[in-house]
Amino acid sequence: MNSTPEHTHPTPRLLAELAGLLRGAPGSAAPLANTLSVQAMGFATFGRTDALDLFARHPLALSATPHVLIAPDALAVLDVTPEGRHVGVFADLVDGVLARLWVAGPVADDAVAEPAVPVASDDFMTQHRAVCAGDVHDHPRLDAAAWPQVQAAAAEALQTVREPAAASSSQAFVVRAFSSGDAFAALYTLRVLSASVPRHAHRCWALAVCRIGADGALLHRRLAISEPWPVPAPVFF
Amino acid sequence: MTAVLTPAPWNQHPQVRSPAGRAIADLLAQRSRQQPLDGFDPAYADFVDYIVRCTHRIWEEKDIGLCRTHYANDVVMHTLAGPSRGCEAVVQGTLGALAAYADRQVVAEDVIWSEDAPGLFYSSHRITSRSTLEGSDAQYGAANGAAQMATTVADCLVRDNRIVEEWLYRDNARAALQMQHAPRAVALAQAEADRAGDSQRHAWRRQWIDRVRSAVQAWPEAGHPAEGPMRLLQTAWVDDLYGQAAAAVSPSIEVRWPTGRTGWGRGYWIGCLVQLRAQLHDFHFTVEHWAARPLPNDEVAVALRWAACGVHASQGAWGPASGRNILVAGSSHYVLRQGRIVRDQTVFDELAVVRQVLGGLGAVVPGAGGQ
Repeated sequence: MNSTPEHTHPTPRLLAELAGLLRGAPGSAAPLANTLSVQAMGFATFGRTDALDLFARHPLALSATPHVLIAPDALAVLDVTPEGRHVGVFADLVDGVLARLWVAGPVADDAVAEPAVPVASDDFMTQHRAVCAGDVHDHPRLDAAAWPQVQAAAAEALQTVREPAAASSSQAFVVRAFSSGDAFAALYTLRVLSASVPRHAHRCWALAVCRIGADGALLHRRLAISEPWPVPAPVFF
Repeated sequence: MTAVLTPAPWNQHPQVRSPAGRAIADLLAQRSRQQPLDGFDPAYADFVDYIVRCTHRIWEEKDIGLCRTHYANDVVMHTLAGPSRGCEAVVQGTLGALAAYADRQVVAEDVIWSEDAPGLFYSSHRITSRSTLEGSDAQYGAANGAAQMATTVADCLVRDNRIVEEWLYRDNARAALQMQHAPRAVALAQAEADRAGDSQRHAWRRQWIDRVRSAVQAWPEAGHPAEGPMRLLQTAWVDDLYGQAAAAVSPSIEVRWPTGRTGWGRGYWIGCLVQLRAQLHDFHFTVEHWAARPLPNDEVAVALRWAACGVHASQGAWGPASGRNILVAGSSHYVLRQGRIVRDQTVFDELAVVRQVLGGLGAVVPGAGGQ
C-alpha cells in the first residue's frame, strides 16, 4: 500500500470501508453517506441502499496492495485485477464518510443507461481545440505545478480510447484532482465522439495516479480507463 | 429570499449542517436545540433537522397525520400542474402516494435555507425518492414492481413549525419513463382531461405568466453567493450571451437537468439553456427566491427558484411549435467551489411543460383571447 505519511492513520480504515462497500457486503458497517451516489460498472445509482445493491450484484474485489492516494476530502485507489487490468476507484469524502464514488473499470453486461433528452452541445466553443477541459482553480487541493501533467494524462487517456486516434472531437473533463506529496490523482470523464459519420458519442471514466519531480516532470503514471458506458436511449416528446 | 424582507446573513448558524455527505444515523440522531426556533416542536434541533426529520416521520415512519401539525390549514402548494390548497389535501395526497408506493425513501440531498425575516424560514429541499409501485397508481396503473428514482425540489415557507406555502417541482417526465410510460402519451392524456370542464380552474397559470412578464428582478445584497448564479442566468436567458455566462462557470461543470439530461462542461450547460430558450419566443425570466448555505469541504450551495415563459413558436425538444404560451417554473441548485459554479442540478416538471404544449392546463394561444 502506497499511502502518504501524513495520512497513514485514516487510510487503512477507509480502505477497509471502501472494500466492504465494493463487495456489497450486507450489513456493512461502513459510514456511507445517505446520499451516496455511485458511477460504476455502467450504472449510476443514488443512495446508500442502491449502492450496496449494485455492488452485491457486481462485486469488485481490491487486491492486498492497491496504489492509494488520500486527501482530507478525497480518496483515489488504483489497482490491478488478477487478469492484469487496471481499475480506478475515486471517492469524495465528507468528514471521513464516503459520499460519492466512481469506478473506472469494467462495465457489466446488464448495464443500461437511463433514457435522456438529447442535448446538442459544443464541448470546445472554439476552433482552437484543447483535449482537456478543466481549470486548476477548481481543484484547490491540487498543486498548481501538477496541472500540465493532469492535462497530459487526459491526452493519454483519450489516445487510449479514440478510434481512430486522429481527427476526433473527443474531450476529457477533469472531474476531480488533488495532490498528495509529490503525487496526484485526477478523475476524468471522457466524451468520445466517433470520427466517422454518423458521429456517435459515448462516455468513459478514467483515473490517473501520477508522481512528478520537483521540476514538474513526470516520474510515473498509472492510468485506469473504463470500458465504454452504455449510451442513453433518446427521449423525444 | 425576496428583497422586500430583511434577511439574516446567508451563513448564519454554521453549526446547522447540510445533510450532504452525512450518514443516516447521523441525520436521525436526536440533538439538543442548535439554533433559535421559537414556536417549533422541541423534537427539532435546527431548521435542517426540522425539514429532514419531519419528512422522515411523515413518509418513512408513516405518521401522515403529522401533516396537520406541520402544514398551515390554508397552505397553498404550487406545482407546474396547478396549485392545491389546504392541509387536508396534503394529508390525502400523502396517503394516496404511500398506498401506491409504500417503500418510498425520501432521501434528503440538501436543504438550502434562509431566514427571510425573524422567525420566517425558507427551505429549498432537494430530494431523490426511491420507491416501488406495489399498490395502484391513478396515473401508472396497478402494481408492476417498477421503481421510481425521481428528483424533487420542495421549497417551503415555514413559520411556527408549519409550512405556510410550498413550491414543489418534480422531474415527472423521468418518473414516467421509469414507470415504463412514454411521457408524451401521459402528457397528452392529461391535456385532454384539462380541456374538459371549467377552464377557470387553470386561471392560476395565466396569472403566473402575467407575473413573470411584469416582474422587476430583485437582487441579493452585495456579497451574497446567489448573486453570481443569478447574473449568469440573466446573461444567458435575458441577454442571450451564453458564452459570456459560461465563462464564469467551471470548464468541467457537472450538469443535471430534467428527463435524464446529464453532462459535463460549459458546452453542455449552454446546450441545456439554449434548448429551452430556443423553443420559446418573447421569452421572459425571473428569479423568485434565492438562498445559500455553506457545504462541507469549503463549498457553497445556492438555490434559485425561478420561472420563465414564452410563446412556443419553434420546434425543439418538446415537439412541433404549438404557438401556445408556455410557463416553465423550476429550481436550480448550484455548488460553488472557490466562488465558481462546479455543479448545476436543475429540476422542473417537463411533463407539465409538454402538457401545456399539447393544449393542457388552459394553454394560452396568442391572440385567441382565451386560456
